[in-house]
Amino acid sequence: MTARGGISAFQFFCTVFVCRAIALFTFIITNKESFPPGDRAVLFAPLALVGTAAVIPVLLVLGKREDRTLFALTDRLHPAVSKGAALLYTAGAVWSAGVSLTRFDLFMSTVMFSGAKLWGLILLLAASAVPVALRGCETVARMSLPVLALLAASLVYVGVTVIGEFDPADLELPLRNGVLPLFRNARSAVARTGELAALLVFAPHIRGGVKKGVFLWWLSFGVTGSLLYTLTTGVLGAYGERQMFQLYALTVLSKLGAAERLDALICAIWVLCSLVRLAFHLIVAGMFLEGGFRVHRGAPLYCGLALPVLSVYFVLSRSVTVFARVIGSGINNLIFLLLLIAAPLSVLAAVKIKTHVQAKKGIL
Amino acid sequence: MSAVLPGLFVATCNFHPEVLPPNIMPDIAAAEARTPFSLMFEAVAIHLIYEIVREASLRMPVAVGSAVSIVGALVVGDAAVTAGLIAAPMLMVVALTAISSAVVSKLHESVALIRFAMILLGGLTGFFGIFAAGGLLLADICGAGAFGVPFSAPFTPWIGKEQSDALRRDGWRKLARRRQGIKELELG
Repeated sequence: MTARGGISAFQFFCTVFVCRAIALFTFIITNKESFPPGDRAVLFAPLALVGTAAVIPVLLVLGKREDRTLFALTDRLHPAVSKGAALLYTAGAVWSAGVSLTRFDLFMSTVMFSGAKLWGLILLLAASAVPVALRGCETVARMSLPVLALLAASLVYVGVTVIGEFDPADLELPLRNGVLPLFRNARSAVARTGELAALLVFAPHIRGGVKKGVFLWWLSFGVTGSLLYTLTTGVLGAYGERQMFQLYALTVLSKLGAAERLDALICAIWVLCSLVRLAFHLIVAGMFLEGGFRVHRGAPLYCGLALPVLSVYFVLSRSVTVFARVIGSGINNLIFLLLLIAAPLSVLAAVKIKTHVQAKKGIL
Repeated sequence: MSAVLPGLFVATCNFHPEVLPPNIMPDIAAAEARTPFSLMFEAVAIHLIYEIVREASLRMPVAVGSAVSIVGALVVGDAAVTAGLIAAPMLMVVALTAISSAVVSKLHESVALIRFAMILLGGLTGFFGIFAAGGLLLADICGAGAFGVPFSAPFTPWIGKEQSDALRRDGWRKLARRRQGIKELELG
């Protein structure tokens, strides 16, 4: 793209936003008591704080110039550490992509094509994601901006068309159960956001302030989510609480003049988000493997990565009960803790200790 | 429009009829019910016929070529609708597609191929297949560039100062002073 190459921080965060957006739209609120409607309106504030705090270990790895990768540190320790880290993060990216495909399949087979087997559509999506990933991170980053614009336009359309139905009486006061549940929900939301681990390999390709961007990204994502869920609560009321996919229920209500129901068209835009998300995860997994094993990021690698992603999808999508049990087991929290906090901190500590020991011995 | 309109029409009628306004939907459904073929087959067949007529008129002498177009467009089309082989809404979609494909005639061949792919995807998977293929096209456009400048610039990557000469054209005097912007775009 440019002589310096790479993408801007704005483009990177747009891409991550698009990746998270599809997770937000297909998010299922299983327990109203644990996530009261009143708290959803103010969730953005603790989300921005907890989210930024959780990414600090990753930002520490990037260094002052924000251009250091995880492998710049692990290579200093031992090549085996690099390989181990590469496998760990690749598995994380593959898992995340597989789970998002399953979630999307669940959404589509529940509300759009009731009871239908959608593996054909998912295969089409995966087959489309491989060539997109092959074009590289710059292409995916450029692609995310028009997708984000389409998404924003569709959300504005939904918002404008349903605002007449908004009833403030359906809203509840926030913090009815105190501050702790709010922070607990913020922590759960942050734990589902493993995409920011991509910074560990993307950093040298990003121009501009990553550190500033992280807080702004969390804030903008939180505000968008809070606005959408407040709108959903105000428009749908008690009916919304019985819906599995509340944001979709909102799109069904939106109509303007001759356009009676555009929910299928709006959900088709979500397919684009899924495509960006899948391609992004494939690229991230490919970059981690490239960093750890020095493999070439080409068609064989991405096709090879698509296979485990599809395997995860096929295993999880066999039964909704199994999927709910797996997701409810706290595996996301574990993955987040491991990939964004424990692993970066361990590597940083190990490098610090090794540097200190070498300095003592007079090697450095 | 030339690439996706027939695909969107097939997808709408097959999978998402709720998108259509309620006063139009029954008319389209009634027209389609009178034809013996599936909507997707109808769309593919009629576009194939259109491409044959177009290729024939290109190879004919100019005087005869226009006659072939008239016979193809009016006589065959009208006879097919009257005979109940194809529905009038589909014929209208094909006509709109044909006219819009003439806007950028250099891209006709590639757009025709994309159109067929979109019809098949629309007929088999609805809007979702069309949007997945649209995503691929978008990636293709975003991934292409010339002399270090992406085709999709200044929209993506967004370059604020270039927007004045993006959707509308700047004056020559202003364009003469624009070199700084291009330089910055090239150097990132």
